[in-house]
Amino acid sequence: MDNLNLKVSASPHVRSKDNTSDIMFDVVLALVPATAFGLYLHGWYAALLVAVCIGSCVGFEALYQACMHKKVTVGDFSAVVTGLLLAMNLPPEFPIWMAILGSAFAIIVVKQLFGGLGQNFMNPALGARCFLLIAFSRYMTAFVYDGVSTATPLAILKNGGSVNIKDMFLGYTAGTIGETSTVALLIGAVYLLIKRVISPKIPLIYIGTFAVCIAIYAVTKNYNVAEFVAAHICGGGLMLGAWFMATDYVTSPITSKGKVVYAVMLGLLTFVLRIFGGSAEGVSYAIIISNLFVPLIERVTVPKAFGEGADIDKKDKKKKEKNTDEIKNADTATEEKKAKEDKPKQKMNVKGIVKAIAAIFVITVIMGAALGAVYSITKKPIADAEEKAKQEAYAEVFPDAAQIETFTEDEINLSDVNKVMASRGYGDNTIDEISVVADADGMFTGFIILVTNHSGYGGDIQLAVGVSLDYSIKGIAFLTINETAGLGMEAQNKEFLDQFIGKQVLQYSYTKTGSTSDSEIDALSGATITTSAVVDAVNTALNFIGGIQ
Amino acid sequence: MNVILLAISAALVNNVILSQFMGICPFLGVSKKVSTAAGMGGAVIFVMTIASAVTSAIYYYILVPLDLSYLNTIVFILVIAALVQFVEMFLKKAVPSLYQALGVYLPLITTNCAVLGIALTNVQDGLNIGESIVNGMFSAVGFALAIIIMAGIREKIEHNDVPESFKGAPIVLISAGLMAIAFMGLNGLI
Amino acid sequence: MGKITERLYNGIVKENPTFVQMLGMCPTLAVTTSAINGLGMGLTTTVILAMSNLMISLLRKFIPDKVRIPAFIVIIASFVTIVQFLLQAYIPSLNASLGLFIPLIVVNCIILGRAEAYASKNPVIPSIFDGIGMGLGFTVGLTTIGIIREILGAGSVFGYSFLDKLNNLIGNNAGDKVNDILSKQGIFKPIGIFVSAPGAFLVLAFIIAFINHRNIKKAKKNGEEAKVCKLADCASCQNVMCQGKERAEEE
Repeated sequence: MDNLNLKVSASPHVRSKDNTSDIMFDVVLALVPATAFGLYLHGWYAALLVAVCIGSCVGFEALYQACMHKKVTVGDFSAVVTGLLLAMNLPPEFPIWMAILGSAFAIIVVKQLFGGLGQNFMNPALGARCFLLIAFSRYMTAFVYDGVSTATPLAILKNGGSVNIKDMFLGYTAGTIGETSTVALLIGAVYLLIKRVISPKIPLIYIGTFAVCIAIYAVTKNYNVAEFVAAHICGGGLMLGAWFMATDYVTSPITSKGKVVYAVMLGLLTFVLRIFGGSAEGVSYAIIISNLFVPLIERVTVPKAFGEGADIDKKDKKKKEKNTDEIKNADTATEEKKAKEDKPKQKMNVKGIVKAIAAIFVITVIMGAALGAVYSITKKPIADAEEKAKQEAYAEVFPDAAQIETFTEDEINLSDVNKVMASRGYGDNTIDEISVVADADGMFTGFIILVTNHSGYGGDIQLAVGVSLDYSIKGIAFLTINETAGLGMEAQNKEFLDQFIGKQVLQYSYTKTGSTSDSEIDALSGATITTSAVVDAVNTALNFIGGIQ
Repeated sequence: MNVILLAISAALVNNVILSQFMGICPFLGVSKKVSTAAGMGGAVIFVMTIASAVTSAIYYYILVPLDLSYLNTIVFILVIAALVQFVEMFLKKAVPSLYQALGVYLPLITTNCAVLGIALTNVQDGLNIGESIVNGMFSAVGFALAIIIMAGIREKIEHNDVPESFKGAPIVLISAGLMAIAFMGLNGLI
Repeated sequence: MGKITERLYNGIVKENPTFVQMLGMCPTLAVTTSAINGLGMGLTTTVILAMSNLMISLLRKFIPDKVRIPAFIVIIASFVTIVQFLLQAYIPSLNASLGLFIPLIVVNCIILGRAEAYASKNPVIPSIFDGIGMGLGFTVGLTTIGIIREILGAGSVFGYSFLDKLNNLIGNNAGDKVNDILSKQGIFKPIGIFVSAPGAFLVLAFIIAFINHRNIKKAKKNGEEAKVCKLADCASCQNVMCQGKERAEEE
């Protein structure tokens, strides 16, 4: 027993280039049917994208390893697989340079910086896909079919439309390059199962959990259950994700029970994201979120080693009790010691405490006074600044207003107004000020409503809406907006706000799949909550004005 | 906002660390081991829930009626500092086992941006006392979740072949970036 | 004079709060969505840091040790609120963009840390300049990160959108067909992720890695061990809450 040299090393414990490249090659082979179908549907540009992704992934890996003076391992084909999977997750007309950037992110950031093959915790292709989704949301969600911009079947389903299951099964629908053809993906999956590259455990439990959730949902919504479930299984990236990415050895749990937990988690997350989430798809995020939990899942599902059990528990408990007793004893001991020392020092201590409290009191009073002074000095300038901002906003939203008269609290009771608005379903908003506008001749030409919506992503959003007598909006200006830079803050763009201007619409709604009517506006990409808040605020103003006439 | 939506928003969608960037110091510093992270997370949940209740009550029943709402920053931070002291003393005497698990992290919580930040957003967003408690508690749950996930990841990559210049802070920050990407998938949920 | 320049150099370079000490991470990641925000936050913090260091150094003989932390907090919180009012009154745009993070300056580890580590033990003039030095170092850090994030994520710098100008130039001069292809290929669109949360983490990670790289190279040349932030030693307000952190590490 003494001669045993027990070495502890991190996983993977079996490293052999030949095996890795054999497995990877099998995966590539299995993906060929789906890729071929995607290329057949979308033509030469899709083929170019696939080539670019694979080429970039391989290139970046070789470059990184060369620069880092490590052995170049692109021969193990893992970069090829990452590149191919990434390409299959891209829309068919995705820009080339963005695909290259995605490949760099997948290989360098998600994989190599963490140590290379076997050491990443997140699936590189999906990490890159989600990176691109956030970085270039408009381009990642622009799907075409037959050259025409089309919504994916899942998006259509989410908006209440109907889909053709047979088309979805065969793959004749809009989607990313490699996800549409369920049958082609299944062929590949069967190949991998036969070759024992993957085990059916995770995919089947994943798809099964998901199907059950979807079925229950369909029942509660009185949909045609069989059709709904079939559509959701064939649609989106579920097949691609379940068979080819959830089964990735590196980023899925090693432990047997862990795999089950992982697969169930995937199923639940995909369901929640698809049904209640902002987009119609959820597989990619479900997988990378679950990747985050894998270390914890592994920790919790470690199988009991032989011999582990009762004795150790008892020992642990005794140790804990000893510790807490020690703390109690140590405390009483120090207290006793303190009490002994305290007697002669008592006089000094009381003085010390009094001094301390006095000091804090004095400091608080001084600082409080200073604060109060500054407050009273700046009270007026602050009010002036706010008034100035408001007047500027008013001028912006009703450019040709000669006179603006704001109703005072005596003339209109705002809290009553807001109670009425709440009863009409606009409780998330508060009307802060109502003004009427007149032109140079004194003729009444419209309203300016200052309204705050409390459900913005970053808190309150306050805006001024100028509405002329025929209900058309003359302008919208923001006074308070704290949304995400680049996403929700884009609500201030002319492009977005122009959608509200000049139309005679009494109530606006928003859509993410291309507006089809005057009263529908295109939501800000990646900022549904902000869009919803702004639309709600505008509708509150319009509804109020509508209620007056 | 109804309670469930508020809870999910606080914990997941507007995650204190990954979305609002509050509490980054402990997130990076106390996430090396899962047990430490769990302890810190527990302590934060404890303190933040009580702090939300107390600060919210003080705001609505004392500061606002006296037109002293501009003192909220000072008052809140003093309340939190005092609260942490009391909680530490109380736990030591009354629930020693809990003190053993959490007590060590309590001094670190006073300067945790998250606690003061959430207390301030509670009143800034106009949440009533009940909503503040829910927001406070579940924001802390989100904090605990993020810090525990990060600890799991850090334990896993501890022996990885990370390049020299990325060892330590940079690779942890990159992991945080990947976590943030994943959590952004939850954005559309509410 | 020497002391002053020494304090300034220390704060800006040697012990730079952002890149070396990794303190004040919360605002570093949150407000650097644009260069001007980073600059604004940095300067605001510098002002507060200088004032609080001054006050605390002035009162250092009068504040009993037992209540020093609460005392520091009251002083710092008051100055933060004062500065907040001044901003609201005279620079409302900055106040709007920095939003919640102004009151959060109270718990910015840097300010409490400097109060504890320097201002409470040193005379007034050096303390003021220690505050200014650290504040400027922080400002340099924030502005650098802000510039990078703004360029990558919005195609502009300090609000000047060079990407827009470039796109307009091309749009007006290239033919329709070329413009069509360029538009489809998303040519010269900014990489949005850098102005949102993940981008903040990634940019900071790469900057620190770059600094580590330089330090390691320099150390190798001198044959010594490089000082790299391993994140168990640096963050979490080491100055003030040392005892708490040490106990945490013994676990």
